[in-house]
Amino acid sequence: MKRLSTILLLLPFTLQAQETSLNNLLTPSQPGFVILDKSPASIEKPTSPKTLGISVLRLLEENGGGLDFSPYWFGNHPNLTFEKYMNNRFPVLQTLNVSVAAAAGDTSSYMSAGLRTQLFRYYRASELGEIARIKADIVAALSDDPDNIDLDKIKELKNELSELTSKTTVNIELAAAMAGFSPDNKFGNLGNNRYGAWLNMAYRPIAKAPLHLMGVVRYTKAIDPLGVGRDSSLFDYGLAMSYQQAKFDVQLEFVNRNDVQNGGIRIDWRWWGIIWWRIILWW
Amino acid sequence: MKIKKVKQGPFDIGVREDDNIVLSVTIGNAQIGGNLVKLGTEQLQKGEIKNPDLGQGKDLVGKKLTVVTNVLDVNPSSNKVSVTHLFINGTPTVFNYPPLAFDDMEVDEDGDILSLTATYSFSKKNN
Repeated sequence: MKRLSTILLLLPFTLQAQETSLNNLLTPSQPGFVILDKSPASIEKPTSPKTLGISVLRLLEENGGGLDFSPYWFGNHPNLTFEKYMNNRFPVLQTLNVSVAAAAGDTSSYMSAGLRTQLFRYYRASELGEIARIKADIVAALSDDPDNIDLDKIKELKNELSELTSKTTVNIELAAAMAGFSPDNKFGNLGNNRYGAWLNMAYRPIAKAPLHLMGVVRYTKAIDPLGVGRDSSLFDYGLAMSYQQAKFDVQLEFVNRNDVQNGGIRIDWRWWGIIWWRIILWW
Repeated sequence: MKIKKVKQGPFDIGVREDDNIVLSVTIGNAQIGGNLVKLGTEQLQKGEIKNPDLGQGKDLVGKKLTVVTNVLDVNPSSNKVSVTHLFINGTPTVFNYPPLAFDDMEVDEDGDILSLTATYSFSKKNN
């Protein structure tokens, strides 16, 4: 009788001074929350100027909370077709996201705001062709009486489309955020307490191969609001490579941290990697 | 995945007897849509509508045109739907959905479909 057995062989290796992960340097989706090191208990996502106004009022009334919105999409864009959107290599305005958070205690309060956007995005011609093919299938499936539309088919095609559009050949994202602290709960005494900026560059060099390259840069500055501790100013950068297949997987990562406050000396670094492959035995 | 149905019209379109009337449908907000166009009960066109000739004005006067535009929300940043029906050589030429402050042209969530059925009737324009 034939039996199948799978063995995973793992070869992890790490060289590091301290624990610093590249994942911590990635552009956050909501930098206004990340800069505070905590997510607000409630997050409102307004989709128009009117709902933004209501959300801001609620934020002020409840002395805390979060806002997450994309101002470009507050209005209608009747001439922005799907093709124009996909062919736009600099979708800075269209992908601009704003996140704002506030937290008020009995004696002090924090407020933060952040921006995130896609500076550059590029798809290969073959990938745009594949996206256009799926789009044509969706158009064909939608071109019917609404009662006769095959919803299962549309759902399947939409999932396929979402997967394709998420796989950019080149993707560069930028985020920035700042947070203020008020020691006496007065808005006028709100001082800049912490700020940061992130830049990510992702590249898939081969269309059909699961090879991904990534470079990340982050700068953060934290100022002790009460002036009793030390300020910190850190510059981090990292590189990563991954090649992931069903039977074989390689991931490599390098991260470096420098203390800008003290002349840019390296204070932390890490090389990290893992190689695994699956052996299938038959007997 | 839900379908939200919106009906608009009938709207009157003035045409000259000798002019060819051409229809174009644009789906905005980076969404994807398909169309079904009927003149009376006869199906004229399906799919993307890019300048098909509906016929001469004299053949359209007194008839009803139905344009069904089904839009799938594929834009994760917006649930708003924008559809423009353009009638070249018709008066008025452009029908925008939505007009300002028309909240109905929005689906509840990503992946939903908005089905817009707009009807038009053609009348003779004298000058």
